[in-house]
Amino acid sequence: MLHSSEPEGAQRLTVDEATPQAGHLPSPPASRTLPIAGGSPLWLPARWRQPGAGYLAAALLQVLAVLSTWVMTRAFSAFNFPSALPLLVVAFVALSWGAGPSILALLLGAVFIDYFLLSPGYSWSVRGNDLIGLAVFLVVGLLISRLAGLHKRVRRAAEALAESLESERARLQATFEAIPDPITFYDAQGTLVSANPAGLQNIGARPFPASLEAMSGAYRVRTAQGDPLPVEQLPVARALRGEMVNEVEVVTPGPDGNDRIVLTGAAPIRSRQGQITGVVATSHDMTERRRLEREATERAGQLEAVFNSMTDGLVVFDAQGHLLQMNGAARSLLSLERVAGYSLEQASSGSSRFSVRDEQGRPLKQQEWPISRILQGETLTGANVVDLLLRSLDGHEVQVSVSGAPVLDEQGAIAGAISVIHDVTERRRLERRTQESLQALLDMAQTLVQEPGEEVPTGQNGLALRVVARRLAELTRRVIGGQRTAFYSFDAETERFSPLAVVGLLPEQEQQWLADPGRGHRLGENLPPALARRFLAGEVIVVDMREPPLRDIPNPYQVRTLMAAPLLVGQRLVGQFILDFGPEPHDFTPQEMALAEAVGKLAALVIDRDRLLREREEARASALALREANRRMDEFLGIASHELRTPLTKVKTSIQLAEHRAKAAVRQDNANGTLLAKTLQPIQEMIGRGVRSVDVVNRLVGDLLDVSRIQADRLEVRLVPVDLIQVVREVVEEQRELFPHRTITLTVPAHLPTLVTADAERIAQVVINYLTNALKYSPEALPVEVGVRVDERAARVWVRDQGPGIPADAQAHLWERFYQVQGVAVQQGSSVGLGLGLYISRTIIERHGGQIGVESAPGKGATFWFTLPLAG
Amino acid sequence: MSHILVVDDDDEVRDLLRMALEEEGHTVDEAESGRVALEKLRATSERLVVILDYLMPGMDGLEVLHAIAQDETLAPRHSYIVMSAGRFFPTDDEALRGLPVAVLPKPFDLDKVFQKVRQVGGALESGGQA
Repeated sequence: MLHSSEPEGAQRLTVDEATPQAGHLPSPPASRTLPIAGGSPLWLPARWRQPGAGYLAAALLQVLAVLSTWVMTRAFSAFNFPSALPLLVVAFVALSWGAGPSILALLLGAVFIDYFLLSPGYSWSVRGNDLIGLAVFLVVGLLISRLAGLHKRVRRAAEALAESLESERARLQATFEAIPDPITFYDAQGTLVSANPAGLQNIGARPFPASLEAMSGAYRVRTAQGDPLPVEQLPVARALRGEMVNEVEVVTPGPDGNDRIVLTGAAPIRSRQGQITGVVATSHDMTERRRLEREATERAGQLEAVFNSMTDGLVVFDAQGHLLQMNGAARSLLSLERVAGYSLEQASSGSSRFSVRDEQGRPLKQQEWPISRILQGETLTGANVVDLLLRSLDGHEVQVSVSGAPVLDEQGAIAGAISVIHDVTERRRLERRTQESLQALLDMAQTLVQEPGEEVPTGQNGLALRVVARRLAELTRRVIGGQRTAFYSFDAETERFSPLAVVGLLPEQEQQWLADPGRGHRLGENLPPALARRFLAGEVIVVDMREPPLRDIPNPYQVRTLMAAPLLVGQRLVGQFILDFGPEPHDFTPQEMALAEAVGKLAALVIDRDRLLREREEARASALALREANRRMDEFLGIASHELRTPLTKVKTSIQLAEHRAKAAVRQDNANGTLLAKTLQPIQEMIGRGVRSVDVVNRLVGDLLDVSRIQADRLEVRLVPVDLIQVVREVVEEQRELFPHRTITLTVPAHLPTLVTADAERIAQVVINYLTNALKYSPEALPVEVGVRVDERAARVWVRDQGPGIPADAQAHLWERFYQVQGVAVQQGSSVGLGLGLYISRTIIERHGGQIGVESAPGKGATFWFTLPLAG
Repeated sequence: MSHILVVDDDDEVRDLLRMALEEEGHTVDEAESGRVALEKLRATSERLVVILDYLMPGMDGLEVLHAIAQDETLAPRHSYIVMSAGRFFPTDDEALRGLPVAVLPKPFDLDKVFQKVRQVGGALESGGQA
């Protein structure tokens, strides 16, 4: 029976009851009822091996035996052995079926012998001799049956044993033959006697090694290292000496002639007495396996190399969170030396010695750790990569980016986790620094949009720029670094830089620096021309103070290298800033230079903006002043007008009142007599003259005021739609009343009205001016013509007189202030005039967008005209 | 004839005007300042022609007119003639909308004054506005 040393509860192999089982005596079927050993003879067909068959056979055979005896007794008189055959039967039955049936046969035999064979026949009586004979028969029979039974049992056992041995042997043989590994048998001398098919195949076409020496020689057995294996070291030889040889690796050529790595073993075969009768040897071809192992080792080695050469940390965990593998990078990242057995539990316990936190610094519980999440089945790649803050075991703060994935077995269950830990500390530091720089630049930009009044009290604009510049300097130092940063403004006219602000000095030093008059310097001073050119072009330059000519200038702070950045608005230089790191050597990196450029641009805008704001303030102030001046002027003109005209009003009213009363008196008196009328008449004339004088003075006052207004640019015209012809007509009517003895003709176009956008009063003023002049300078007898003509786009008004005319050179000056024509006698009216009328008229017409002019020649009179654009 | 109120800070001007207008047959009252004028205007139940000087210390003519224009009881009552040494265009002033204001330039012609007063007064009597 095959069985293995299985643990409890494992299934046992079932046993086939029909086949005899090797190593076990078969248990008698059903004949357990008899306490005596029994069974059926093996030579009987199985069909007849019934339990009752023995008894039946016993009975039948005994009958037969008795019959035969009876026959033989009758046939051969010398045959007088009645118990012989029955005894034989008993023996036979005992041998064949066992003790039970044989006892039956015995009893039956005894009975039959007594009844049938012993005299007297056919009776049950027994004589003395016969009784002894019967008794002997019985005893012998019993003995025989006993012996037979025993014999049978022994034989049966032997048969069973033989069968089981046979089946065992058969099984062994089958195994022997089926085993794919060669198994070879040797006799006590070490000669190969047999081999299993695999072994035969292994030997192949080669001859069987006749002896161990032959084996060693012909088969060139070597050690794993390649040294030839001495004969006595051959596994077979050792086994022959009684050793149990296990797993010796040798190198030997196979049937094809190629060397193979073979794992051999040998065991002695001992006789029952313990003598070594032979050896059985096995071998197993390890070549392939060794090759695979070697490959695997190589690959593992490569993997190991990759694993360890990776700059990122790699950790491998099993499904329970035990650390299986950790590469060098991970080890150094975490300062973790001991790998074996380290588990997540340990990592998280020990009062969070790794201090695992998320990006914001919030501590993470173990189940939130990326590795735990991976072990739960999450894959962390791409966007799911986790950023963590860690503290390595030696106290460093590191920031890492953790990615990874679970490892699945064939069933898809999680067998472990692999995680990559990427150190981003440096990157984060750079990012943070960039962020800070950006913020500082933004702060700088912020100052651009701030009103200066928000920071500094008004009225201190120079101070405001210094404050701003100092802030710029602070921000610049924050962005780029450095020990000292100084800002200068630039005056394009003097080509000098003036200090604005400095940071990085002690307060008293700072004061000194600002106050130092020699601090300002000329553009390009002390700089090699090439550098100066580049500076002006907008480049940030690095200056080595140890080079001439800079070597010779005083260097109280022992600056070694400095960076100077021009502040440009477009192409215009408005200042500079200089940054140094003191006596420390410093290589200005391209990033720093780029930052300096950015700072420079912003700072330029800030400084320039300050200038613009100042200018705007000044403009605003002067605009304010201008408005104030205008306001005052307007006020003055208003007052002047009022103050000058009030007395005129009084005079005129008084006079007119007097005139009225005189008229009334004359009217009244006309009834009484003409004396009063005659007396009063000249008085009335005088009064009339007085009134006219007042009017003249009024006009002069008006002209003066108008001129003042024009001077101050305060002459305003109120433009509304006006019928030009109506305006002209009214003026003409008025003048006709004033000068009734003059002929003033008026020519107007047939289509009325003629709309212009004009100030009626002012236009009337111009017409009055023209008419007055015309009346003044032309003979009383000759008429004055006034006309209005409408062209396509403009209306034209003209006043023509037939006076002496105006020479050409005088015409140019006519329109100027205070100009009075010389050598022309006033024909009529008052000669009073200021020479302002035409000047004012010109201004008025110009204000209306019209044109003004005169056509005249000496002796040909003069035509003064103006045009106005038509409304619409 | 009309009932007139002459408003001017200058006594002589007031005097002259009063004499002239009374000779024409009008009833004339005087006010030496804008404030007094307002009081008088509010106090009276009659409809007056108000001759108003533009430039006066304290409350000038324009301010008086603004005050009147905002007063719902005063606004529709009287009619105004403003005497101005400069240029004044009441139609340009939104606040004076609806108020009957005529303008006489200073120094004025007495005949023109009489004419204006007759015009304005006539309109008042007939119940409308000048």
